[in-house]
Amino acid sequence: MEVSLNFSGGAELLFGKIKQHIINLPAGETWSMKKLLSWIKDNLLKERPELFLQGDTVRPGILVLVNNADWELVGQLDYHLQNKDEIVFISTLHGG
Amino acid sequence: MCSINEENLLADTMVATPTLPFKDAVCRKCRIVKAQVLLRKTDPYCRDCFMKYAVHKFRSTLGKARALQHNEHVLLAYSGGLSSGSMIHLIKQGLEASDSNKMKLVIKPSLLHIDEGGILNLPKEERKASADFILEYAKRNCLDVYICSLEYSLAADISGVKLQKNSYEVEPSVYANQLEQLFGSVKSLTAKEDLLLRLKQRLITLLATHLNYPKVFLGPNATRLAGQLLSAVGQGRGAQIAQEIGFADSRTGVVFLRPMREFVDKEVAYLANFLEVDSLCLPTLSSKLGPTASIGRLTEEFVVTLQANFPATISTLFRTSDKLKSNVGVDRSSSEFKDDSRCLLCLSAIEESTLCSASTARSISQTISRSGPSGLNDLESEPYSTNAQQQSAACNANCSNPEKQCCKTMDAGTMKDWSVVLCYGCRVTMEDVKTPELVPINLREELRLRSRRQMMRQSVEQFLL
Repeated sequence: MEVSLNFSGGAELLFGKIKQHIINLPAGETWSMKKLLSWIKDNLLKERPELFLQGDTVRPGILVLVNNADWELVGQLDYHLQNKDEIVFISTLHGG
Repeated sequence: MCSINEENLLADTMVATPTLPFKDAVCRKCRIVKAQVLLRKTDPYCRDCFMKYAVHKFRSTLGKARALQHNEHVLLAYSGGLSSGSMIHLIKQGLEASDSNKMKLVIKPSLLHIDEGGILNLPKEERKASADFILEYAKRNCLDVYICSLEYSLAADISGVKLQKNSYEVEPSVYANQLEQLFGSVKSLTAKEDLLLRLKQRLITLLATHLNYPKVFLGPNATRLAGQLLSAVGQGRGAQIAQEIGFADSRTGVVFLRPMREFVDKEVAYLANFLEVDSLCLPTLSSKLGPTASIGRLTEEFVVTLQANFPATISTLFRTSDKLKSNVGVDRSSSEFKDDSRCLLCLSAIEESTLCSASTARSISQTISRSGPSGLNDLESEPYSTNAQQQSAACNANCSNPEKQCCKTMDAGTMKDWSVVLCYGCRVTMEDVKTPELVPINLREELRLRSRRQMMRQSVEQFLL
């Protein structure tokens, strides 16, 4: 399953300054947002995990958009990823 | 007898906004299109209604304050971040508005960017890449851009500043070393952040005055300002909140305006996403640090975490802060406000230190807690002006005696009495700076002048009607 992850607003600093990551998740499993977040923590996050994640969810101040809609409108952590989904993580704590 | 029960009170007031399931909700305004945006935890909007709401809020913030005049030259301070980027896009939209109902925004904007790479120890290529991004961005939006390096904030006046329109070279000048030295000598991150803010303010004022732009738009959004509000109060700048956080800041000759003030960080993020604002990722002094690294980081963490569950946090903070205004006018044109009572660093009014004022009470408490009641006796027996001050007051600046170093030397004692030249907040910051002579505010000269004037005023007071 192919998913594209975009980081902006300063969040990319934690991911090697790369804004867009296109990742391939192993098919055959259902990927919820919760699972995706822990996958990101294990595979993409280069440093300071506590600045991106807080427990199971993202840190307050990080906005998550799934296909250009707020993730709270699609079920937040329980949303199941589809092929070719676009997830955007915007940090609102940086820059002005 | 009041019958409020403590436990019940706690339970009632701590109810967080309920997280109602909003899956597949419909926009609450047009009720037709599926919602894409969720504001304040309970209000779903579709993209078009949200954009209309945001643009309307932006225009009304500018219109309500009657801040702009027709065809005025305005400098847009662009840091590369999402907030200032969205501000520029909204202004461009306003300039091109073809909507016949709305008044078209008629101003002459240009971009200004300050290169802070010197204090962040960024390699030259990175600074060049950021500058190129900004030049490209300005060209795409058909705006003039001025990029200036932060080190020129240490220049005494505009003649020392190297500035070109629409181009930028990363060339360290003589001030680059001074800047590095200055920031290297500051102990705490809080003081560094405050000093950075003041230097940026100074540089922007210098440039705006030189280029003849009477107004400057700054980009901070409501969340950032709420954090700054709390940290200002924590650092002793409570009297200056109206200028630091309010819509307009007219302490310097140039008016600083904050049109993004009404947008919460989430709204700015949506705006930036829908307007496809490209952002430049520049680290700041407190990037990748924990919440206890500085006061600013701590208050930011506090506000953001609280706002996540209680969306009314920021508006409550602003409502309260809007009511707190200093009773001394700080306009340059205000005649009751003499130049002598302005802080050299932040240009706000220096607080009074008469016998009954808060600052006097604070210094008495400090003396007693450091040296016990005997310290208080010493404080009282000391004449108001020390011997050194009296000596320097006796001769004037043209004293040509080369041996007698009366006005040339200031001993450490008088340097500590900075209350005539700096406000409380700036004094706290400057105490952390080990090389205060590098800060371009003419500290020694002004200290001497103002102390002498103050003593003169005191001796003549009784004769004035």
